Amino acid sequence: MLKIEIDQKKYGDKLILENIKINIEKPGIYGVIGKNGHGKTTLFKCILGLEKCKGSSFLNQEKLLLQNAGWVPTEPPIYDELTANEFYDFYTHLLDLKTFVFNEIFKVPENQLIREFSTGMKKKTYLNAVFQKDFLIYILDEPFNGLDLESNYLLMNYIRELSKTSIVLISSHILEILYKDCDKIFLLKDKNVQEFEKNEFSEIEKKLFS
Amino acid sequence: MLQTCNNDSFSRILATILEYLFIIRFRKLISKGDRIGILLIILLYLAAAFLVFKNYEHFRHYILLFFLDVVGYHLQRSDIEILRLRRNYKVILFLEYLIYSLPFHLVLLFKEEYLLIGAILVFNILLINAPKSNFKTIKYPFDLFNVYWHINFRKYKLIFIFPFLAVLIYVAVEYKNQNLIYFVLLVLSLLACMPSFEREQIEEIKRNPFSAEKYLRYQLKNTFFNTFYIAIPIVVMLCCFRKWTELMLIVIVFIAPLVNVVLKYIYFKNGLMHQIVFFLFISSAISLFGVPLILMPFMLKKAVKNLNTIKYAED
Repeated sequence: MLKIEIDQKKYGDKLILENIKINIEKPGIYGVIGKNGHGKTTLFKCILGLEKCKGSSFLNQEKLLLQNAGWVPTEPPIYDELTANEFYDFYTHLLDLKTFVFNEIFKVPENQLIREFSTGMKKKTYLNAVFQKDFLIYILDEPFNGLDLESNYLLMNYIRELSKTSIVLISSHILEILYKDCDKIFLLKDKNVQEFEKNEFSEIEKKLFS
Repeated sequence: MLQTCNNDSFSRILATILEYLFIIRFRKLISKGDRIGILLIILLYLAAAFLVFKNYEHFRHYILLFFLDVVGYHLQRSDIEILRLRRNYKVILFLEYLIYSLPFHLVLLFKEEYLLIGAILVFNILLINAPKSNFKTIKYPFDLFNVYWHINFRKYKLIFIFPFLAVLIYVAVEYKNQNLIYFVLLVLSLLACMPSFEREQIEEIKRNPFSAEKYLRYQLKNTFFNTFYIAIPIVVMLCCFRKWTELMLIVIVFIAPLVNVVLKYIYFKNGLMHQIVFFLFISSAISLFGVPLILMPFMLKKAVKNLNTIKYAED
């Protein structure tokens, strides 16, 4: 279903990722972990073509494009000058949604300017916008950051629903969340990726902190 | 028929996205729903273009300055990632910049400067297609009392203007065109003004142990020395070409940035008013041979008073 091959990703002279090979055969929740600066966000951006790299990503034998993925970065690029409702409308035009029935997962003030929102509310607004379209793959970079307990609960439930038909790649520093729901976890360390099946999760911390 | 429908839908989507992008621009300056504000800004912008048209001979060497805004806006925008959701996002950006600069494009069109229009449009295309740079962080010698010197030079990549200024000086010497050197000095002065259009956090001012007077003095000192640093390459070039008369004029470069520091603290809470007064003050200082500068002692007093209000009165 999803095939990622990244031979090399450099920023200037600095090598960030090397020889990354990821194969995902079925829908589900897949975790990506690693220390700060070890390339989680860079990996996601390479997969989506947002960063240039030597390599490619294919979803169902077709090159994976940003337009075909539900991408939520750690700090969503949201417009402070729009209201939540205006942002949803703007986003549906970007996604080119012909028939649009708004599916509000998180409650946010609709007619208030986003600049007046807290970090968590901005993230909820962005998630609401992204989840308007069904994608075969969702890439969520630290989606739980900034969200309150109830929103984390709602988001995880929604991700579980999505994972029945789509691949959901999540990065997080909260291992317990990933252990509970992930089908597989990918550990980024020393520019490479190591794969852990559900029955191997107990080894992750040893590898991560060694 | 189907093709026409698709084209209609495509145009409608494009128009809606562009409309939002302009709403976002306006809301950076005025509050939501302020239609009169929008109208006034548009009228002011059109009036500026009309003034340039009417006095084209005076402005012809500086006309590119009116298109520089697009470069700054493009380099600091953080929404490219979201716009990339549309495959034709580069067309959207190109149209946005074209509409934004349209009044000045029309000025050039009526003045039959077709080559310049073409050059600006090609430059915009190159700007939109330029790969994201991952350059090493350049270390600047700027005094850090005002951090926005570093921030502006890094954010807007202002260092890249200097080779362009060097070329302009060379052309000015080669073709004996004094105006180009004046243009370089004007650009240099505007570069030095940019950090003062930014605002430090009010908490920073409150937490600073200096009195309002000392704080302003340090800000002025900071602007003076940092302007001096960026003037060095131009001074060296003017010395190399033995342009002693023009070299004397380098003193003028310092005036606008220093005035702008004072204006910043007079209009600390109103960025738009600050920009308008700055524009009016500098243009009247140029046309009245510096006479408005006699207001400086009063302006300094007002700036200190305002700083005191920010420091102590808001608790």
